[in-house]
Amino acid sequence: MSIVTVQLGQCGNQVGQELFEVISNDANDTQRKVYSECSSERFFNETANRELVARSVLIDMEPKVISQSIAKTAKSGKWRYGDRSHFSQKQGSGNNWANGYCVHGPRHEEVVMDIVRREVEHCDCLAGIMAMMSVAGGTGSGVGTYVTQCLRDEYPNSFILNHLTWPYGTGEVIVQNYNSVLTLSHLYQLSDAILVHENDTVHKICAQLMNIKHISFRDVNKVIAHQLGSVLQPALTGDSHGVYNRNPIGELMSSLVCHPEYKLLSVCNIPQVSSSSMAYSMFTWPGLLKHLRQMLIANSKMEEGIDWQVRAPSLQPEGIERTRSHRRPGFNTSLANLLILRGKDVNNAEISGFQHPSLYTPWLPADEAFSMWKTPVPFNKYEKSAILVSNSQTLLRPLDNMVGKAWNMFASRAYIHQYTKFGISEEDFLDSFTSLEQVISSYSQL
Amino acid sequence: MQREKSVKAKEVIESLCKVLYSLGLECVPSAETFRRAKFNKGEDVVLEFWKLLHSVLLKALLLECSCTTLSDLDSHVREALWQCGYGASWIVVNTAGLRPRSEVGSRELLVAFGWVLSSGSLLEALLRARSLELDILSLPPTVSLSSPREGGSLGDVDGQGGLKEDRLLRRLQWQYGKLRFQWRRLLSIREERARLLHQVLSSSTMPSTSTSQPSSDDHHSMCSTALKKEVERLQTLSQLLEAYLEWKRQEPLFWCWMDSVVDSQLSDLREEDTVENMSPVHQVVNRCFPYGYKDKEGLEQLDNMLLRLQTGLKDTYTRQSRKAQSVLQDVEELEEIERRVALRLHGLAESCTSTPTSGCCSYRPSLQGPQPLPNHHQSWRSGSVLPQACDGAVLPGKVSGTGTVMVQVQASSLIVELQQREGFLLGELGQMRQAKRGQIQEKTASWLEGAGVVLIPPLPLKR
Repeated sequence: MSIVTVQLGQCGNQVGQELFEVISNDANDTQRKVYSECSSERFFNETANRELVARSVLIDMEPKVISQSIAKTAKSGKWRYGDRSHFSQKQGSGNNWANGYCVHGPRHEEVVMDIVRREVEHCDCLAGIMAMMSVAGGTGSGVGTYVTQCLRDEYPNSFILNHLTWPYGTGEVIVQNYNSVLTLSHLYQLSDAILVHENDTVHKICAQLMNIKHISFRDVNKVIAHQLGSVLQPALTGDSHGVYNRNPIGELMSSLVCHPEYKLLSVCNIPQVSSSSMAYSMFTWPGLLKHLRQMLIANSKMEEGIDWQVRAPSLQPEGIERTRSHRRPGFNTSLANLLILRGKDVNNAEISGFQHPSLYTPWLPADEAFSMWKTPVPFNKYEKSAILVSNSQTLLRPLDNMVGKAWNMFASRAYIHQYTKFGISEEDFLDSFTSLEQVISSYSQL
Repeated sequence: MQREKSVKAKEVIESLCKVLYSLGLECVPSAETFRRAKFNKGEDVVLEFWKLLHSVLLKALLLECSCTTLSDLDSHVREALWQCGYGASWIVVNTAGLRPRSEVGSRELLVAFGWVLSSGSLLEALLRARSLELDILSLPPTVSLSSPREGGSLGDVDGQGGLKEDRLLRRLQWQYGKLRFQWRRLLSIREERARLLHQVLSSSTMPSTSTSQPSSDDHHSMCSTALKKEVERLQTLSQLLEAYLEWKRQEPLFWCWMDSVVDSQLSDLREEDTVENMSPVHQVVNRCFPYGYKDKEGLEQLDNMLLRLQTGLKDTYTRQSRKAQSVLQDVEELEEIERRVALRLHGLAESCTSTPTSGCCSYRPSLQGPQPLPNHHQSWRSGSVLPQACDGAVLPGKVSGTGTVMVQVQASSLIVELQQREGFLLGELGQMRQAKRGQIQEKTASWLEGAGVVLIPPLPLKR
């Protein structure tokens, strides 16, 4: 089973390149033959000359990033992109979602979909499609949304996962909140699941956990790639009977995003340390899982600065409604969680802390809301690592902020003409706001 | 002609044997054995048929047993046949105990085999099972999509009881979404299968392409052995299907032959019956299982009986209906006569009662001639003369009702008497009319005097 990755825009292409880098390094371990083969089948197409070619399609409206990525991978020599699997144009989308969605997308639809189709045909079996993009810019968000729409039409029965990078709250682009709102509201209808990385969070991880002084996009992307890779690499699921899960995206979705109102996924992992201090660190499963659990319930995205005061609410006796007043302040209610453990002694890890019903919404029993994958194969040089993919209230606050800022701008009709001139009307904006308010309300009622 | 037919029968039986063999049955006897079984010959034939029945029934009923000894096999076959609904006498346990195996002839076993073959779709069921065994590629994937944990969890909802409708709805939406994802996963697995199958087929049909690729030798050889096995399996399957097709083509002939087997069995039985009387137990069994012992004869008997009953019923019916019709006609006629007579009598009575002095004495008309018929009636012979009763019609040659004695009177004398009576009555009538008129005139005169009214007779109406 294979995953076809579609890298869209500057951010998508950079993160995608880092992801393949991480996976190719991880899969190259000749000691773990089954694991490597499974991983390679998933992400790479092996040519007759035993070359690894990424099952990836690169799309951007500017040539710069794509040619950089191709050059970088060619230099590494371990893997490469397909010769004809990239598409770029001379002129960008100008950070305008409407330009990407209404102009560039339709104009290049045929070429782009041809490349995707070719890539899909190279797979023995398509497990799913992962589209990677940012929501702030024009190409990733606008063209990305349009391409996702085409993918949905072309592969109605395939799993489509969108990986989104959310911009810094302080702002990279003035209209980033417009772009984000439009992207999210459209993708919520098209995609099966939306996996979100916030630049702010990852930036903090780089600063506080990795001790990086001058944080570049590359560092941020590396962290994102590490987290993504540890989710998507082979693991043993609960009922796989010792065989690596064949359809990671499908199984991820079956355990996390079955309800159509709740599609937002976030990731947190432990441990995350700088490569220099890794040699001096010792980790135990109880310690890691205790931290990870607290990170989950206290809604902190990293080990540093966890609020240990937050406790899970005590379960009310049956028949009594759990009301808002019963909820602890700062407590993060989950709909569903997927815990992935990689490394030594995974079978001895005690995971009952994640199975407690008090962590979850009352309408879904804990045994259904929680699932676990594991593998004794360590990931990316970490002897032990735990990753939590969570469908929870974590993203509620950033989403609310984003929609609020966009609404404030929209209320004064700022920059709206930039969108209307490409065919996005004010009604379209209002529709997007409405659907995101619905998402916010759904999550806050968990 | 006869020879040709027997040759045909042999071919047919051979095709059946081929099908049975391809179906993976052990101990399939030869066509010659079948022929010998028809004539009830040979101990070894009996044994072979026991084994054949055993293996067929074993497969058909999916029984688990390991019969090694012949007696085991024997009782097992009897039980299985009984379970199938076959009720021949040699299967039935009766007060005299089971008929010993040595007494069961090969022909009886052959008939039993024919019965098993004809009842239900035995061959088809076995064929289906066997083809599933051979054709592994078209099998549905045996992937467990849901872990037992998921299966059991739905029960928890009921256990919690207090869940509100909204929660249940959300839960349902979740489950539905999960189902959809699982369906998609299944779909992708099927697609992969199809693709791989296509690759295998294309590489096996075009060996030139596979040799041109410099793949590693052991991998290639492993592939080829797997392919060889697959090809073998497919060849067996196609052989099986061909054999079945051939059998289907010739099946009617087999049943003709089977008929002849049954016929010969019946003729043998008839001979036996004449030689030795059946024991009472046998008779009981025969009554219980009319098809079991003398299949065809019993059937014929029943047919005949049915036919007889049907014709009898028809006869009775027609007779009954005819009778009913005639009765109906009689009744109608009688009513008509009665009606007419009553009308006549009424007329007569009216004419008679106008004379109050005439009393109850009246005469019935008699259609007899003036000459009395000799030696005709009891009443005549008795000679008693009584005044005639007025009720009941007197028909010639019939005695009317109960205790009424009629006097035969000559018409001429009657006419005279009647004429006299008429004259008398008319005279009386005239007197009475006169008296009445006098009375009325007196009355009107007295009334009119009081009122002072002059009565003017009405003018006759002009037309």
